[in-house]
Amino acid sequence: MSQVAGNSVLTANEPGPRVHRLPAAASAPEFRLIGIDDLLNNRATTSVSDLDSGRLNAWGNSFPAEELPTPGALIEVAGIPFTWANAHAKGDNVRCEGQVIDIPPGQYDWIYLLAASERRSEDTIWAHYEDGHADRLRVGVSDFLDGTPAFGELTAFRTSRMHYPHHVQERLPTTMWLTRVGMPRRGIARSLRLPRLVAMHVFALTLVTGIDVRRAEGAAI
Amino acid sequence: MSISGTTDISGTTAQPVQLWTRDLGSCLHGTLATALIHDGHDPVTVLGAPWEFRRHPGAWSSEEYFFFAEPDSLAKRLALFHPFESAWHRSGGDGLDDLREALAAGVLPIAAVDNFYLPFRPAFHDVHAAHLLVVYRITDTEVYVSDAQPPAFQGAIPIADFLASWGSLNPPDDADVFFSASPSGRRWLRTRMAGPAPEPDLDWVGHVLRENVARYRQESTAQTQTGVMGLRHYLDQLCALTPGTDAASEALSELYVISWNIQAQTGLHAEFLRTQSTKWRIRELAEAAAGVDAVAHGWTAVRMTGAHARVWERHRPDELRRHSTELVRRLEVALDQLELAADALSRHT
Repeated sequence: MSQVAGNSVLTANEPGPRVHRLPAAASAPEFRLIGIDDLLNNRATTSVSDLDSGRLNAWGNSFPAEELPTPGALIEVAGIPFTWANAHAKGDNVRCEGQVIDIPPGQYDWIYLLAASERRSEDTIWAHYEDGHADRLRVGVSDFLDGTPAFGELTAFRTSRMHYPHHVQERLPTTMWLTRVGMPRRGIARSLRLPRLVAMHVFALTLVTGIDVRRAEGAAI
Repeated sequence: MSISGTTDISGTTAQPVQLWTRDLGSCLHGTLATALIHDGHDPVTVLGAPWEFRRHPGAWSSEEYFFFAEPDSLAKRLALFHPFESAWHRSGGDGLDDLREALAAGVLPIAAVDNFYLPFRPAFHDVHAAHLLVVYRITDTEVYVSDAQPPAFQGAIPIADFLASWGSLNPPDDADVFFSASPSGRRWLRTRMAGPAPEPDLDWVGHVLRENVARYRQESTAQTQTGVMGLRHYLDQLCALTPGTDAASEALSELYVISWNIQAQTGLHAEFLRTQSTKWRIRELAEAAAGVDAVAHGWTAVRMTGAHARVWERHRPDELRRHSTELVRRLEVALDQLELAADALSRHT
Protein backbone atom coordinates (compact mmCIF):
# COMPACT_ATOMS: atom_id res chain seq x y z
CA MET A 1 0.00 0.00 0.00
CA SER A 2 1.24 3.46 -0.74
CA GLN A 3 -0.14 6.96 -0.74
CA VAL A 4 -1.28 8.20 -4.15
CA ALA A 5 0.56 11.23 -5.48
CA GLY A 6 -1.51 14.38 -5.39
CA ASN A 7 -2.56 14.36 -9.02
CA SER A 8 -6.14 13.22 -8.64
CA VAL A 9 -9.04 15.40 -9.74
CA LEU A 10 -12.00 15.88 -7.46
CA THR A 11 -14.79 15.92 -10.00
CA ALA A 12 -17.77 18.17 -9.50
CA ASN A 13 -21.28 17.61 -10.82
CA GLU A 14 -20.97 13.84 -10.60
CA PRO A 15 -23.20 11.59 -8.51
CA GLY A 16 -22.02 10.30 -5.20
CA PRO A 17 -20.61 12.14 -2.27
CA ARG A 18 -17.13 12.29 -3.68
CA VAL A 19 -15.50 10.94 -6.79
CA HIS A 20 -11.87 11.16 -7.70
CA ARG A 21 -10.95 10.71 -11.34
CA LEU A 22 -7.38 9.95 -12.14
CA PRO A 23 -6.76 11.19 -15.69
CA ALA A 24 -4.61 8.93 -17.78
CA ALA A 25 -3.26 8.63 -21.27
CA ALA A 26 -5.05 6.21 -23.58
CA SER A 27 -2.24 3.79 -22.98
CA ALA A 28 -3.28 3.43 -19.35
CA PRO A 29 -6.52 2.52 -17.60
CA GLU A 30 -8.60 5.23 -16.01
CA PHE A 31 -9.62 5.09 -12.38
CA ARG A 32 -12.69 6.48 -10.66
CA LEU A 33 -12.32 6.44 -6.90
CA ILE A 34 -15.79 6.29 -5.43
CA GLY A 35 -16.38 7.83 -2.03
CA ILE A 36 -18.57 5.77 0.28
CA ASP A 37 -18.56 8.02 3.34
CA ASP A 38 -22.31 8.50 3.34
CA LEU A 39 -22.89 4.74 3.46
CA LEU A 40 -20.66 3.83 6.40
CA ASN A 41 -22.75 1.70 8.74
CA ASN A 42 -20.44 -0.64 10.61
CA ARG A 43 -17.38 -0.58 12.86
CA ALA A 44 -14.81 -3.09 11.71
CA THR A 45 -11.73 -1.23 12.94
CA THR A 46 -11.00 -0.19 16.50
CA SER A 47 -8.22 1.28 18.57
CA VAL A 48 -7.11 -0.07 21.92
CA SER A 49 -9.34 2.53 23.58
CA ASP A 50 -12.60 1.30 22.04
CA LEU A 51 -12.08 -2.41 21.47
CA ASP A 52 -15.64 -3.28 22.36
CA SER A 53 -17.01 -1.18 19.49
CA GLY A 54 -15.96 -3.76 16.90
CA ARG A 55 -18.68 -5.42 14.87
CA LEU A 56 -16.76 -7.08 12.07
CA ASN A 57 -18.32 -10.39 13.03
CA ALA A 58 -20.71 -12.02 15.45
CA TRP A 59 -17.94 -12.17 18.06
CA GLY A 60 -17.22 -8.45 18.11
CA ASN A 61 -13.77 -8.77 16.57
CA SER A 62 -12.17 -5.96 14.58
CA PHE A 63 -9.12 -4.86 12.62
CA PRO A 64 -6.49 -2.82 14.48
CA ALA A 65 -7.00 0.70 13.11
CA GLU A 66 -3.36 1.62 13.63
CA GLU A 67 -2.33 -0.96 11.02
CA LEU A 68 -4.68 0.42 8.35
CA PRO A 69 -4.68 3.70 6.38
CA THR A 70 -5.68 6.94 8.01
CA PRO A 71 -9.22 8.16 7.35
CA GLY A 72 -9.61 10.03 4.08
CA ALA A 73 -6.25 8.96 2.70
CA LEU A 74 -5.66 8.33 -0.98
CA ILE A 75 -3.90 5.01 -1.15
CA GLU A 76 -2.74 2.52 -3.75
CA VAL A 77 -2.92 -1.26 -3.49
CA ALA A 78 -1.29 -3.38 -6.19
CA GLY A 79 -1.49 -0.50 -8.63
CA ILE A 80 -5.12 0.34 -7.89
CA PRO A 81 -5.80 3.70 -6.22
CA PHE A 82 -8.52 4.02 -3.58
CA THR A 83 -10.02 6.62 -1.33
CA TRP A 84 -10.01 5.30 2.23
CA ALA A 85 -13.24 6.23 3.96
CA ASN A 86 -13.51 9.00 6.54
CA ALA A 87 -14.39 6.84 9.50
CA HIS A 88 -16.57 8.08 12.33
CA ALA A 89 -17.82 6.60 15.59
CA LYS A 90 -20.68 4.74 13.89
CA GLY A 91 -18.86 3.43 10.87
CA ASP A 92 -15.67 2.83 8.94
CA ASN A 93 -17.01 0.46 6.28
CA VAL A 94 -20.14 -0.51 4.44
CA ARG A 95 -21.66 -3.70 5.78
CA CYS A 96 -23.44 -4.93 2.67
CA GLU A 97 -27.20 -4.57 2.93
CA GLY A 98 -28.14 -3.83 -0.65
CA GLN A 99 -27.04 -0.18 -0.65
CA VAL A 100 -27.11 1.63 -3.99
CA ILE A 101 -24.05 3.60 -5.06
CA ASP A 102 -24.55 6.15 -7.82
CA ILE A 103 -21.51 6.31 -10.07
CA PRO A 104 -20.39 8.67 -12.82
CA PRO A 105 -22.15 7.44 -15.99
CA GLY A 106 -19.63 5.58 -18.06
CA GLN A 107 -18.25 2.33 -19.37
CA TYR A 108 -16.27 0.37 -16.83
CA ASP A 109 -14.44 -2.93 -16.96
CA TRP A 110 -13.70 -3.66 -13.34
CA ILE A 111 -15.02 -2.90 -9.91
CA TYR A 112 -12.14 -3.06 -7.44
CA LEU A 113 -12.97 -3.43 -3.78
CA LEU A 114 -11.07 -3.41 -0.54
CA ALA A 115 -13.22 -5.88 1.30
CA ALA A 116 -13.39 -8.43 4.08
CA SER A 117 -15.78 -11.18 5.00
CA GLU A 118 -16.88 -13.01 8.08
CA ARG A 119 -16.04 -16.44 6.68
CA ARG A 120 -16.03 -16.94 2.92
CA SER A 121 -18.93 -15.28 1.11
CA GLU A 122 -20.21 -15.20 -2.43
CA ASP A 123 -23.04 -13.00 -3.57
CA THR A 124 -24.19 -10.52 -6.21
CA ILE A 125 -23.38 -6.93 -7.09
CA TRP A 126 -25.99 -5.52 -9.45
CA ALA A 127 -24.75 -3.15 -12.14
CA HIS A 128 -27.49 -0.88 -13.47
CA TYR A 129 -27.13 0.56 -16.96
CA GLU A 130 -28.58 3.57 -18.70
CA ASP A 131 -30.63 1.44 -21.09
CA GLY A 132 -32.40 -0.37 -18.26
CA HIS A 133 -30.29 -3.47 -18.13
CA ALA A 134 -29.27 -4.76 -14.71
CA ASP A 135 -26.38 -7.23 -14.71
CA ARG A 136 -25.83 -9.74 -11.96
CA LEU A 137 -22.11 -9.69 -11.13
CA ARG A 138 -20.65 -12.41 -8.93
CA VAL A 139 -18.48 -11.19 -6.09
CA GLY A 140 -16.53 -13.41 -3.73
CA VAL A 141 -14.69 -12.28 -0.61
CA SER A 142 -12.54 -14.55 1.52
CA ASP A 143 -12.45 -14.91 5.26
CA PHE A 144 -10.74 -12.06 7.10
CA LEU A 145 -9.29 -14.40 9.71
CA ASP A 146 -7.93 -17.37 7.82
CA GLY A 147 -5.95 -15.53 5.16
CA THR A 148 -6.61 -18.05 2.38
CA PRO A 149 -7.61 -16.30 -0.90
CA ALA A 150 -10.44 -18.66 -1.78
CA PHE A 151 -11.51 -16.51 -4.73
CA GLY A 152 -8.02 -15.78 -5.98
CA GLU A 153 -7.88 -12.32 -4.48
CA LEU A 154 -4.76 -10.42 -3.54
CA THR A 155 -4.01 -9.45 0.02
CA ALA A 156 -4.53 -5.72 0.49
CA PHE A 157 -3.60 -5.55 4.16
CA ARG A 158 -2.33 -8.17 6.57
CA THR A 159 -2.32 -7.07 10.17
CA SER A 160 -0.12 -8.55 12.86
CA ARG A 161 -2.86 -8.76 15.50
CA MET A 162 -6.59 -8.94 15.91
CA HIS A 163 -8.81 -6.97 18.24
CA TYR A 164 -11.22 -8.69 20.60
CA PRO A 165 -13.86 -6.90 22.67
CA HIS A 166 -11.69 -7.12 25.81
CA HIS A 167 -8.14 -7.50 24.60
CA VAL A 168 -5.67 -7.31 21.74
CA GLN A 169 -4.61 -10.73 20.44
CA GLU A 170 -1.04 -10.64 19.25
CA ARG A 171 0.19 -13.02 16.52
CA LEU A 172 -3.31 -13.51 15.16
CA PRO A 173 -3.23 -11.87 11.72
CA THR A 174 -6.25 -10.56 9.89
CA THR A 175 -6.63 -9.96 6.18
CA MET A 176 -8.37 -7.36 4.07
CA TRP A 177 -8.67 -8.36 0.43
CA LEU A 178 -8.22 -6.66 -2.91
CA THR A 179 -11.20 -8.09 -4.75
CA ARG A 180 -12.29 -7.40 -8.32
CA VAL A 181 -15.49 -7.93 -10.21
CA GLY A 182 -15.74 -7.86 -13.99
CA MET A 183 -18.28 -5.69 -15.85
CA PRO A 184 -18.49 -7.29 -19.30
CA ARG A 185 -21.38 -5.24 -20.70
CA ARG A 186 -20.54 -2.54 -23.26
CA GLY A 187 -22.94 0.02 -21.88
CA ILE A 188 -23.22 3.11 -19.75
CA ALA A 189 -23.36 2.11 -16.08
CA ARG A 190 -25.04 4.50 -13.69
CA SER A 191 -25.24 2.71 -10.36
CA LEU A 192 -24.24 -0.35 -8.39
CA ARG A 193 -26.18 -2.22 -5.76
CA LEU A 194 -24.04 -3.91 -3.14
CA PRO A 195 -24.86 -7.47 -2.01
CA ARG A 196 -27.51 -8.08 0.58
CA LEU A 197 -25.18 -10.03 2.81
CA VAL A 198 -24.29 -9.05 6.33
CA ALA A 199 -21.05 -11.07 6.27
CA MET A 200 -19.51 -8.88 3.58
CA HIS A 201 -17.79 -5.55 4.29
CA VAL A 202 -16.57 -2.95 1.79
CA PHE A 203 -13.92 -0.42 2.83
CA ALA A 204 -13.18 1.26 -0.51
CA LEU A 205 -14.31 1.05 -4.13
CA THR A 206 -12.67 2.08 -7.39
CA LEU A 207 -13.93 1.67 -10.94
CA VAL A 208 -11.52 0.94 -13.75
CA THR A 209 -11.94 1.53 -17.46
CA GLY A 210 -9.48 -0.42 -19.54
CA ILE A 211 -7.36 0.73 -22.45
CA ASP A 212 -9.43 -0.93 -25.17
CA VAL A 213 -12.63 0.71 -24.03
CA ARG A 214 -10.98 4.09 -23.69
CA ARG A 215 -9.57 3.87 -27.21
CA ALA A 216 -12.94 2.74 -28.56
CA GLU A 217 -14.43 5.83 -26.93
CA GLY A 218 -11.93 7.96 -28.82
CA ALA A 219 -9.33 8.68 -26.18
CA ALA A 220 -6.26 10.26 -27.69
CA ILE A 221 -3.23 8.04 -27.89
CA MET B 1 4.58 -28.04 11.56
CA SER B 2 4.77 -30.56 8.76
CA ILE B 3 6.35 -33.36 10.73
CA SER B 4 4.29 -36.51 11.06
CA GLY B 5 4.00 -37.79 14.60
CA THR B 6 5.88 -40.77 15.90
CA THR B 7 5.33 -42.58 19.15
CA ASP B 8 7.98 -43.65 21.62
CA ILE B 9 7.70 -46.60 23.98
CA SER B 10 7.57 -44.56 27.17
CA GLY B 11 3.97 -43.57 26.66
CA THR B 12 4.50 -40.23 25.08
CA THR B 13 4.48 -39.05 21.50
CA ALA B 14 7.91 -37.54 21.19
CA GLN B 15 7.57 -35.64 17.94
CA PRO B 16 5.21 -32.81 17.17
CA VAL B 17 2.18 -33.76 15.13
CA GLN B 18 0.91 -32.02 12.04
CA LEU B 19 -1.39 -29.05 12.37
CA TRP B 20 -4.22 -29.06 9.84
CA THR B 21 -6.98 -26.53 9.37
CA ARG B 22 -9.17 -24.92 6.73
CA ASP B 23 -10.89 -21.55 6.63
CA LEU B 24 -14.36 -23.08 6.88
CA GLY B 25 -13.32 -25.76 9.32
CA SER B 26 -13.58 -26.14 13.06
CA CYS B 27 -11.62 -27.99 15.68
CA LEU B 28 -13.59 -31.12 14.73
CA HIS B 29 -12.18 -31.63 11.26
CA GLY B 30 -8.84 -30.19 12.37
CA THR B 31 -8.25 -32.65 15.19
CA LEU B 32 -9.51 -35.65 13.24
CA ALA B 33 -7.25 -34.63 10.36
CA THR B 34 -4.23 -34.52 12.66
CA ALA B 35 -5.06 -38.01 13.90
CA LEU B 36 -5.49 -39.26 10.33
CA ILE B 37 -2.20 -37.77 9.17
CA HIS B 38 -0.48 -39.31 12.18
CA ASP B 39 -1.69 -42.72 10.97
CA GLY B 40 -0.68 -42.09 7.37
CA HIS B 41 -4.02 -41.10 5.85
CA ASP B 42 -4.93 -38.09 3.72
CA PRO B 43 -7.63 -36.07 5.54
CA VAL B 44 -9.02 -34.51 2.36
CA THR B 45 -9.66 -37.96 0.90
CA VAL B 46 -11.09 -39.41 4.10
CA LEU B 47 -13.08 -36.46 5.45
CA GLY B 48 -13.73 -34.72 2.13
CA ALA B 49 -15.41 -37.60 0.32
CA PRO B 50 -18.77 -37.58 2.14
CA TRP B 51 -21.21 -34.72 1.73
CA GLU B 52 -24.62 -34.63 3.31
CA PHE B 53 -27.20 -32.75 5.32
CA ARG B 54 -28.66 -34.34 8.43
CA ARG B 55 -30.43 -32.78 11.40
CA HIS B 56 -32.31 -34.41 14.21
CA PRO B 57 -34.51 -31.79 15.92
CA GLY B 58 -33.46 -31.28 19.51
CA ALA B 59 -30.31 -33.39 19.17
CA TRP B 60 -27.53 -30.85 19.42
CA SER B 61 -25.12 -29.52 22.01
CA SER B 62 -23.40 -26.16 22.31
CA GLU B 63 -19.97 -27.26 21.15
CA GLU B 64 -17.82 -26.13 18.25
CA TYR B 65 -17.30 -29.79 17.40
CA PHE B 66 -20.94 -30.82 17.25
CA PHE B 67 -21.94 -32.94 14.28
CA PHE B 68 -25.04 -35.10 14.20
CA ALA B 69 -23.64 -38.59 13.72
CA GLU B 70 -26.09 -40.98 15.36
CA PRO B 71 -26.43 -43.90 15.06
CA ASP B 72 -22.84 -43.88 13.78
CA SER B 73 -19.76 -42.76 15.65
CA LEU B 74 -18.52 -39.25 14.98
CA ALA B 75 -15.58 -40.45 12.89
CA LYS B 76 -17.66 -42.97 10.99
CA ARG B 77 -20.24 -40.37 9.97
CA LEU B 78 -17.58 -37.88 8.94
CA ALA B 79 -15.76 -40.54 6.92
CA LEU B 80 -18.60 -42.53 5.38
CA PHE B 81 -16.41 -44.08 2.71
CA HIS B 82 -13.65 -45.27 5.02
CA PRO B 83 -13.57 -47.64 8.01
CA PHE B 84 -12.72 -44.74 10.32
CA GLU B 85 -14.17 -45.12 13.82
CA SER B 86 -14.20 -43.19 17.04
CA ALA B 87 -15.45 -43.57 20.58
CA TRP B 88 -15.92 -41.05 23.34
CA HIS B 89 -14.36 -41.90 26.69
CA ARG B 90 -14.85 -40.19 30.02
CA SER B 91 -11.92 -40.45 32.41
CA GLY B 92 -12.11 -40.55 36.17
CA GLY B 93 -9.65 -38.93 38.58
CA ASP B 94 -7.30 -36.63 36.76
CA GLY B 95 -7.58 -38.99 33.79
CA LEU B 96 -4.08 -38.45 32.54
CA ASP B 97 -3.21 -42.11 32.84
CA ASP B 98 -5.91 -42.90 30.27
CA LEU B 99 -4.36 -40.42 27.87
CA ARG B 100 -0.86 -41.80 28.57
CA GLU B 101 -2.13 -45.27 27.84
CA ALA B 102 -3.61 -44.13 24.53
CA LEU B 103 -0.36 -42.45 23.56
CA ALA B 104 1.58 -45.56 24.46
CA ALA B 105 -0.68 -47.49 22.10
CA GLY B 106 0.11 -45.09 19.29
CA VAL B 107 -3.21 -43.24 19.50
CA LEU B 108 -3.46 -39.46 19.57
CA PRO B 109 -6.23 -38.68 22.07
CA ILE B 110 -8.51 -35.77 21.22
CA ALA B 111 -9.62 -33.97 24.37
CA ALA B 112 -12.77 -31.92 24.95
CA VAL B 113 -11.67 -28.69 26.61
CA ASP B 114 -12.83 -25.22 27.63
CA ASN B 115 -10.90 -22.38 25.99
CA PHE B 116 -11.22 -20.28 29.14
CA TYR B 117 -8.35 -22.19 30.79
CA LEU B 118 -6.00 -22.51 27.82
CA PRO B 119 -3.19 -19.92 27.91
CA PHE B 120 -2.76 -19.88 24.13
CA ARG B 121 -6.40 -19.31 23.23
CA PRO B 122 -7.77 -15.78 22.72
CA ALA B 123 -10.55 -16.67 25.14
CA PHE B 124 -8.07 -17.35 27.97
CA HIS B 125 -9.55 -16.09 31.25
CA ASP B 126 -12.19 -14.26 29.24
CA VAL B 127 -14.76 -16.53 27.57
CA HIS B 128 -15.93 -20.09 28.17
CA ALA B 129 -16.19 -22.14 24.97
CA ALA B 130 -16.17 -25.87 24.19
CA HIS B 131 -13.31 -26.91 21.96
CA LEU B 132 -11.19 -29.91 20.91
CA LEU B 133 -7.44 -30.33 20.82
CA VAL B 134 -4.97 -33.14 20.26
CA VAL B 135 -2.75 -34.38 23.08
CA TYR B 136 0.58 -35.69 21.85
CA ARG B 137 2.85 -35.90 24.88
CA ILE B 138 2.56 -35.90 28.66
CA THR B 139 5.37 -35.39 31.16
CA ASP B 140 5.29 -35.13 34.93
CA THR B 141 4.59 -31.42 34.77
CA GLU B 142 3.25 -30.62 31.33
CA VAL B 143 0.81 -31.71 28.69
CA TYR B 144 1.79 -31.17 25.06
CA VAL B 145 -1.18 -30.16 22.96
CA SER B 146 -1.79 -29.38 19.33
CA ASP B 147 -4.50 -26.93 18.26
CA ALA B 148 -4.59 -25.88 14.60
CA GLN B 149 -7.41 -23.35 14.96
CA PRO B 150 -6.11 -19.76 14.77
CA PRO B 151 -3.93 -18.76 16.47
CA ALA B 152 -2.37 -22.16 15.90
CA PHE B 153 -0.48 -23.57 18.86
CA GLN B 154 1.59 -26.63 19.46
CA GLY B 155 3.55 -27.16 22.62
CA ALA B 156 3.46 -27.65 26.35
CA ILE B 157 1.03 -26.22 28.87
CA PRO B 158 1.09 -26.84 32.64
CA ILE B 159 -0.82 -29.92 33.72
CA ALA B 160 -2.93 -27.75 36.01
CA ASP B 161 -4.15 -25.63 33.08
CA PHE B 162 -4.93 -28.68 31.00
CA LEU B 163 -6.86 -30.34 33.81
CA ALA B 164 -8.82 -27.17 34.52
CA SER B 165 -9.79 -26.96 30.87
CA TRP B 166 -10.46 -30.67 30.44
CA GLY B 167 -12.57 -30.84 33.58
CA SER B 168 -14.31 -27.50 33.19
CA LEU B 169 -18.03 -27.17 33.75
CA ASN B 170 -17.95 -24.66 30.87
CA PRO B 171 -20.74 -22.60 32.41
CA PRO B 172 -23.16 -20.48 30.35
CA ASP B 173 -21.34 -17.38 29.12
CA ASP B 174 -23.06 -14.38 27.52
CA ALA B 175 -19.84 -13.70 25.58
CA ASP B 176 -20.29 -16.99 23.74
CA VAL B 177 -23.91 -17.99 23.45
CA PHE B 178 -23.06 -20.72 20.96
CA PHE B 179 -20.34 -22.80 22.57
CA SER B 180 -20.65 -22.30 26.33
CA ALA B 181 -22.85 -24.31 28.72
CA SER B 182 -21.38 -27.66 27.76
CA PRO B 183 -19.13 -29.29 30.39
CA SER B 184 -15.85 -30.75 29.19
CA GLY B 185 -16.31 -33.63 31.64
CA ARG B 186 -12.87 -35.19 31.12
CA ARG B 187 -14.09 -36.51 27.79
CA TRP B 188 -11.76 -37.61 25.04
CA LEU B 189 -12.12 -39.12 21.65
CA ARG B 190 -10.20 -42.17 20.49
CA THR B 191 -10.05 -42.72 16.74
CA ARG B 192 -8.81 -45.57 14.62
CA MET B 193 -8.92 -46.76 11.02
CA ALA B 194 -10.57 -50.13 11.57
CA GLY B 195 -9.67 -51.68 8.25
CA PRO B 196 -7.92 -51.08 4.96
CA ALA B 197 -8.72 -47.81 3.23
CA PRO B 198 -10.34 -48.14 -0.20
CA GLU B 199 -8.21 -47.56 -3.26
CA PRO B 200 -9.07 -44.04 -4.42
CA ASP B 201 -9.37 -44.98 -8.09
CA LEU B 202 -11.86 -43.65 -10.62
CA ASP B 203 -14.46 -46.28 -9.77
CA TRP B 204 -14.29 -45.31 -6.13
CA VAL B 205 -14.58 -41.58 -6.87
CA GLY B 206 -17.59 -42.26 -9.09
CA HIS B 207 -19.14 -44.34 -6.32
CA VAL B 208 -18.59 -41.50 -3.85
CA LEU B 209 -20.26 -38.95 -6.10
CA ARG B 210 -23.30 -41.09 -6.85
CA GLU B 211 -23.76 -42.09 -3.20
CA ASN B 212 -23.64 -38.47 -2.07
CA VAL B 213 -26.12 -37.35 -4.71
CA ALA B 214 -28.45 -40.25 -3.91
CA ARG B 215 -28.34 -39.42 -0.20
CA TYR B 216 -29.18 -35.78 -0.88
CA ARG B 217 -32.07 -36.75 -3.14
CA GLN B 218 -33.64 -39.42 -1.01
CA GLU B 219 -36.75 -38.62 0.98
CA SER B 220 -36.32 -37.12 4.41
CA THR B 221 -37.55 -39.19 7.32
CA ALA B 222 -39.94 -37.96 9.97
CA GLN B 223 -37.36 -38.17 12.76
CA THR B 224 -34.20 -37.01 11.01
CA GLN B 225 -34.24 -34.28 8.39
CA THR B 226 -31.96 -35.35 5.58
CA GLY B 227 -31.03 -34.33 2.05
CA VAL B 228 -32.49 -31.51 -0.01
CA MET B 229 -35.96 -32.15 1.29
CA GLY B 230 -34.82 -32.16 4.91
CA LEU B 231 -32.80 -28.99 4.46
CA ARG B 232 -35.71 -27.19 2.83
CA HIS B 233 -38.05 -28.28 5.61
CA TYR B 234 -35.59 -27.23 8.31
CA LEU B 235 -35.06 -23.79 6.82
CA ASP B 236 -38.80 -23.32 6.34
CA GLN B 237 -39.30 -24.04 10.02
CA LEU B 238 -36.48 -21.68 10.97
CA CYS B 239 -37.80 -18.81 8.88
CA ALA B 240 -41.31 -19.23 10.26
CA LEU B 241 -40.24 -18.42 13.84
CA THR B 242 -41.13 -15.04 15.28
CA PRO B 243 -37.98 -12.92 15.55
CA GLY B 244 -36.88 -12.02 19.05
CA THR B 245 -38.71 -14.83 20.80
CA ASP B 246 -37.00 -17.40 23.00
CA ALA B 247 -37.84 -20.08 20.49
CA ALA B 248 -36.21 -18.10 17.70
CA SER B 249 -33.10 -17.43 19.81
CA GLU B 250 -32.75 -21.12 20.60
CA ALA B 251 -33.21 -22.02 16.95
CA LEU B 252 -30.63 -19.48 15.80
CA SER B 253 -28.12 -20.81 18.31
CA GLU B 254 -28.73 -24.30 17.00
CA LEU B 255 -28.36 -23.05 13.41
CA TYR B 256 -24.95 -21.56 14.09
CA VAL B 257 -23.71 -24.66 15.88
CA ILE B 258 -24.98 -27.45 13.65
CA SER B 259 -24.19 -25.69 10.40
CA TRP B 260 -20.55 -24.99 11.24
CA ASN B 261 -19.43 -28.51 10.52
CA ILE B 262 -21.99 -29.02 7.77
CA GLN B 263 -20.42 -26.00 6.08
CA ALA B 264 -16.93 -27.30 6.89
CA GLN B 265 -17.75 -30.63 5.27
CA THR B 266 -19.15 -28.82 2.23
CA GLY B 267 -15.97 -26.80 1.77
CA LEU B 268 -13.84 -29.90 2.24
CA HIS B 269 -15.89 -31.84 -0.29
CA ALA B 270 -15.25 -29.10 -2.83
CA GLU B 271 -11.51 -29.42 -2.11
CA PHE B 272 -11.80 -33.21 -2.52
CA LEU B 273 -13.43 -32.71 -5.94
CA ARG B 274 -10.77 -30.22 -7.04
CA THR B 275 -8.03 -32.61 -5.97
CA GLN B 276 -9.60 -35.45 -7.92
CA SER B 277 -10.09 -33.18 -10.93
CA THR B 278 -6.40 -32.37 -10.97
CA LYS B 279 -5.41 -35.97 -10.43
CA TRP B 280 -7.59 -37.41 -13.20
CA ARG B 281 -7.76 -34.33 -15.43
CA ILE B 282 -11.54 -34.37 -15.50
CA ARG B 283 -12.87 -30.83 -15.79
CA GLU B 284 -16.39 -31.74 -14.73
CA LEU B 285 -15.04 -32.47 -11.26
CA ALA B 286 -13.62 -28.96 -10.97
CA GLU B 287 -16.91 -27.50 -12.18
CA ALA B 288 -18.78 -29.57 -9.61
CA ALA B 289 -16.34 -28.32 -6.98
CA ALA B 290 -17.29 -24.74 -7.83
CA GLY B 291 -20.94 -25.65 -7.40
CA VAL B 292 -20.28 -27.29 -4.03
CA ASP B 293 -18.20 -24.30 -2.95
CA ALA B 294 -21.14 -22.05 -3.84
CA VAL B 295 -23.22 -24.10 -1.42
CA ALA B 296 -20.59 -23.62 1.27
CA HIS B 297 -20.75 -19.88 0.66
CA GLY B 298 -24.53 -20.05 0.75
CA TRP B 299 -24.18 -21.46 4.24
CA THR B 300 -22.16 -18.37 5.22
CA ALA B 301 -25.10 -16.16 4.29
CA VAL B 302 -27.62 -18.22 6.26
CA ARG B 303 -25.33 -18.75 9.23
CA MET B 304 -24.19 -15.15 9.61
CA THR B 305 -27.61 -13.64 9.05
CA GLY B 306 -28.82 -15.91 11.82
CA ALA B 307 -25.83 -15.23 14.07
CA HIS B 308 -26.23 -11.46 13.83
CA ALA B 309 -29.88 -11.79 14.73
CA ARG B 310 -28.97 -13.95 17.72
CA VAL B 311 -26.06 -11.87 19.00
CA TRP B 312 -26.70 -8.29 17.86
CA GLU B 313 -30.50 -8.49 17.59
CA ARG B 314 -30.30 -7.55 13.94
CA HIS B 315 -33.49 -9.32 12.96
CA ARG B 316 -33.95 -9.58 9.20
CA PRO B 317 -36.34 -12.46 8.53
CA ASP B 318 -36.64 -11.41 4.89
CA GLU B 319 -32.86 -11.78 4.43
CA LEU B 320 -32.84 -15.12 6.21
CA ARG B 321 -35.63 -16.34 3.96
CA ARG B 322 -33.88 -15.13 0.81
CA HIS B 323 -30.54 -16.68 1.77
CA SER B 324 -32.27 -19.94 2.69
CA THR B 325 -33.96 -20.10 -0.69
CA GLU B 326 -30.67 -19.35 -2.40
CA LEU B 327 -28.86 -22.03 -0.41
CA VAL B 328 -31.31 -24.70 -1.53
CA ARG B 329 -31.12 -23.43 -5.12
CA ARG B 330 -27.33 -23.65 -5.10
CA LEU B 331 -27.57 -27.15 -3.65
CA GLU B 332 -29.84 -28.29 -6.49
CA VAL B 333 -27.41 -26.85 -9.04
CA ALA B 334 -24.44 -28.51 -7.37
CA LEU B 335 -26.15 -31.89 -7.37
CA ASP B 336 -26.78 -31.57 -11.10
CA GLN B 337 -23.11 -30.74 -11.59
CA LEU B 338 -22.08 -33.74 -9.53
CA GLU B 339 -24.20 -35.97 -11.75
CA LEU B 340 -22.47 -34.55 -14.82
CA ALA B 341 -19.13 -35.23 -13.17
CA ALA B 342 -20.13 -38.79 -12.29
CA ASP B 343 -21.12 -39.36 -15.92
CA ALA B 344 -17.76 -38.00 -17.04
CA LEU B 345 -16.01 -40.36 -14.64
CA SER B 346 -17.93 -43.27 -16.13
CA ARG B 347 -16.65 -42.36 -19.58
CA HIS B 348 -13.07 -42.45 -18.27
CA THR B 349 -13.29 -45.88 -16.64
